[in-house]
Amino acid sequence: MLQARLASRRGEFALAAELSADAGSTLVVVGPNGSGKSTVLRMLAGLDRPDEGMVHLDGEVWGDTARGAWLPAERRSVGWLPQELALFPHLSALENVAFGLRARGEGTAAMARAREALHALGLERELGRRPAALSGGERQRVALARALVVEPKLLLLDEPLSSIDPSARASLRGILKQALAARGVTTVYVTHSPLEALALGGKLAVMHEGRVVQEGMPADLLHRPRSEAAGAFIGTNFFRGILASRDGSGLVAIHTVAGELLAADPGLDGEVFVAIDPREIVLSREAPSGSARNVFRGRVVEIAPEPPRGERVRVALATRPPLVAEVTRQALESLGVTEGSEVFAAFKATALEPYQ
Amino acid sequence: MKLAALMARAAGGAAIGAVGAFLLLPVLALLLQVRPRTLLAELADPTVLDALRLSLLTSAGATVVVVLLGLPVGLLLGTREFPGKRLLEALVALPMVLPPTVAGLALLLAFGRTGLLGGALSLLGITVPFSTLAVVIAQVFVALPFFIGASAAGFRGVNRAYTEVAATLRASRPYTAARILVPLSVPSLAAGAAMGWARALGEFGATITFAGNVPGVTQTMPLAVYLRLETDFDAAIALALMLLAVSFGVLFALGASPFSLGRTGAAGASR
Repeated sequence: MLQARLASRRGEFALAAELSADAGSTLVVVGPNGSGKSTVLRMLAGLDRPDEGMVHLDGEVWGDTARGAWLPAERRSVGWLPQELALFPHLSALENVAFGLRARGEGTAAMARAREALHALGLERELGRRPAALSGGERQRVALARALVVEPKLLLLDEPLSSIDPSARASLRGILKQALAARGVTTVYVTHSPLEALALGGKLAVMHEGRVVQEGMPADLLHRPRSEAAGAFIGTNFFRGILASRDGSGLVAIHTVAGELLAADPGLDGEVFVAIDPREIVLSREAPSGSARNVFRGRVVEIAPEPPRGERVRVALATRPPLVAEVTRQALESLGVTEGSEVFAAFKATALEPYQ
Repeated sequence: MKLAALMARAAGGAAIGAVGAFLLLPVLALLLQVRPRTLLAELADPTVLDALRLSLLTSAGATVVVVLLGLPVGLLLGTREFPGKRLLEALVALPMVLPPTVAGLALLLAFGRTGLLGGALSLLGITVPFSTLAVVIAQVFVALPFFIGASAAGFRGVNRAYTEVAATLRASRPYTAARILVPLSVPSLAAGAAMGWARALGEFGATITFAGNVPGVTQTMPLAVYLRLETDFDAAIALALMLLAVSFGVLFALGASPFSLGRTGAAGASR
């Protein structure tokens, strides 16, 4: 089990992050560039030292600034894959993987174990090649083998798929997931991509401006974001507000700073959060006559196609409160809506489940 | 605007031409004024051959010592931060700014018979001044900063992620130095060694002050050239040309010069 608390200040940037991961599990740390993810990894690895903090792994104290202790990387047991991979350019794939074993004095056994590790990742033919002669995906796997072959207690992956051709990412992610599951090594996986984070399927920690703003399973994050940063990150409409009047019909009004929403009564009081899935929002040119209780009128500010193919589009609206709807391109075209059009946005009160 | 650009180009061209002429002219003068017959006669002179052999042996020995002593210091200065680093850098560079005669005097005061270490050394039966050992010591003293500077620059140029990955793989610092830093800094190390060797080969002031001018023992080529100047001008020219040919030939053959400093080792720049 990994437990870490890290705080440091470098000029304008303040880091204050708490993380934990069960033994053998993968914790995905996700957040925009510059949110402090790589710094967290470097501190876990023992390459950087926080002003204050601690790192415990499986009962061992790797660092505790209160006791003046902070083990350097060579005295921890970590595998670290920096974003640039940093394969040794003058060594072959096999020598790269054997490096850690040879460094601790394993002679001939090192080469056999390194060969085995490369085979396990499907690299039988590339043993003698130098990094410059390998493809991006091959380099990535060599770096993974180099980190795993020394059997670290903690594996640290920094944007492992960022340098990979997008078309090869899914298959490499599969290889990665498999390798991690087979080893049962506690892993911290850093990525800036929400898609990638959710695809990994494990526990997530969302970082924003040096802080972990939310920690939880993917479903929890998707349906119950707890901060503007987390909401923006997964691309959902997020509001915080105060539960106001109950009218006995099972609906409640929620006052947000930007307007009022009607929601199903959660049986809560005080401050609540609300997430509105952009796909629940229906757009129309005329005032809707249906059963939707939340209807807002406003101009279309932006229309942005959704990756990968742009069949769905995200429509940002200058309503009060501001909303983002996600509809098919076809639907939008049949409505004749373009940027600047006036539209009605509607969604059912029952689509909203306030939470705390 | 156009005129200004044209003038700037002309000025640049003129500067390059002037530097070329300035560097080549003295060499050309040597070449033009040497008498082939004198050159052949000097080549056959045993004292000249002694001086040449002594120069090559001492400078080669000094280079080996410089590399062995300089590598750890280059590693320290190139890869680590510590209090007093600036002071150490200034100290290491000192022989570069010291006039060589002053360096020779300082060495004499340190290792001479009545010097700081002289007593201890003579108890061991070692007399340093006016020996071949003194020649090598003087050369090491003046050549060290060149190698240390070049090697530190080379080590500093190695991507830090390589040594950091090595640390996470629990490689010790010496192991990482031997397997990662040194191989990736070979061009800088070679340039530093070549510059150090050239400096040792050309050493004059410190040698004549500290080691004296004993033919066959401490009389290296630069000393021989200087002495010939007073007795036989043509012979001096012939010796100077020999020294020039040897040093240029070695540097060219090794392909090492200050200009290989910025070049990285085996694909050091790629991932």
